[in-house]
Amino acid sequence: MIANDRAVSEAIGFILILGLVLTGIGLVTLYGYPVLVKEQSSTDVKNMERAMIVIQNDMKSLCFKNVPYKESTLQVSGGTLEVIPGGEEGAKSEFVISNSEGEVNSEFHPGALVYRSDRSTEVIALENGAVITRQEGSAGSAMLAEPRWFYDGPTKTFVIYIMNVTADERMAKSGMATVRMKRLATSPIPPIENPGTVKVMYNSPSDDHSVAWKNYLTSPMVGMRKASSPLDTYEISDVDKLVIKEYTIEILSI
Amino acid sequence: MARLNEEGQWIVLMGLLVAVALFFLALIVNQSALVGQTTSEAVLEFPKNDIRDLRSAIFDYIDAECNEEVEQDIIAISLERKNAVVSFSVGGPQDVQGHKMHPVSIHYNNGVTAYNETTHY
Repeated sequence: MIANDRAVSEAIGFILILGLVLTGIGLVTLYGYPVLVKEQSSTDVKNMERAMIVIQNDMKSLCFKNVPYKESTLQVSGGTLEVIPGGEEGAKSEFVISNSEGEVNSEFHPGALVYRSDRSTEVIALENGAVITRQEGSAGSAMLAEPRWFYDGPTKTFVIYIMNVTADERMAKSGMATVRMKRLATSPIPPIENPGTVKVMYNSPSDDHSVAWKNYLTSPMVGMRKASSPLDTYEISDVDKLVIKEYTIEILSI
Repeated sequence: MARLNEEGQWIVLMGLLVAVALFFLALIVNQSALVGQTTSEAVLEFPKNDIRDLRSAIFDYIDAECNEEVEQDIIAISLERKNAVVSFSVGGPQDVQGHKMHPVSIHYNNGVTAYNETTHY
């Protein structure tokens, strides 16, 4: 400690430290806080993705396991969960199933459960047994959890599941929500023998999940391919038996 | 101040290291929850009882001299109640180790699980 320390001043040291502290606070406010908010909203969306898969599992139990009633409580944070009842007027998207001979021609308006995030543009929808995510205002969508359509090779059977969502009125909720669901009796559609080529058209004017459905229907599990026309039509040939199973789930409350 | 014993500083440093490690572990745990859920679901959904019921129904059908209408009923009921596409075929009796047995091939598919079996009854 022989060095000359005449220039050392407590005031300068204090100003230096204060400057560092203020710079630090400034950086955190400018860059750190937005990252935190983004992280929070992406956590909310992630939780909601999981919650939607839970509801999808409940719906599967209602449809495939002969369970008459299900309820599950979930936390809807950072957004709103909305029920869009199916049917001709309310629902936006529709599935049209037809075959080459024209003896099958059924339209389904399955309705949906939709979550919209407040802070980000993410939209998660539970539509016709599939959990689909998309960004509001931009094209494209992806399927988080798939429905259970399948083509059975050895018996050449094509099985289509339609899961309608109905409710007495449109409902929306944020915060703690208890989704209470009941399976309604639907008259079974008898299997159609030798339909030839089966066509499925997905039609949605505003809520666009067409990319997700395209990727699902043309996946190896379902094995359809895109028809030349019209738009968003998929077809599968060499079908000996077409099975359309329609279920209706009533959302009693959320 | 300089004369203070500073040999314990590594403890503070280790604390920092542990905190960083915990942060990354938390990230991994956050990612894995979804994977675990879908995997356990797949295990739970294996239709063991459905396949057993189908096998026993087919063996009863063989005992009852293979009635064609019963075969159609088994296929229709499997589709309606269990959402499964099934098909099966029964061959004529063969001599297997001194017993007369029918070769049976069973096909079961419910969209998640496909099951094929060839056996003798």
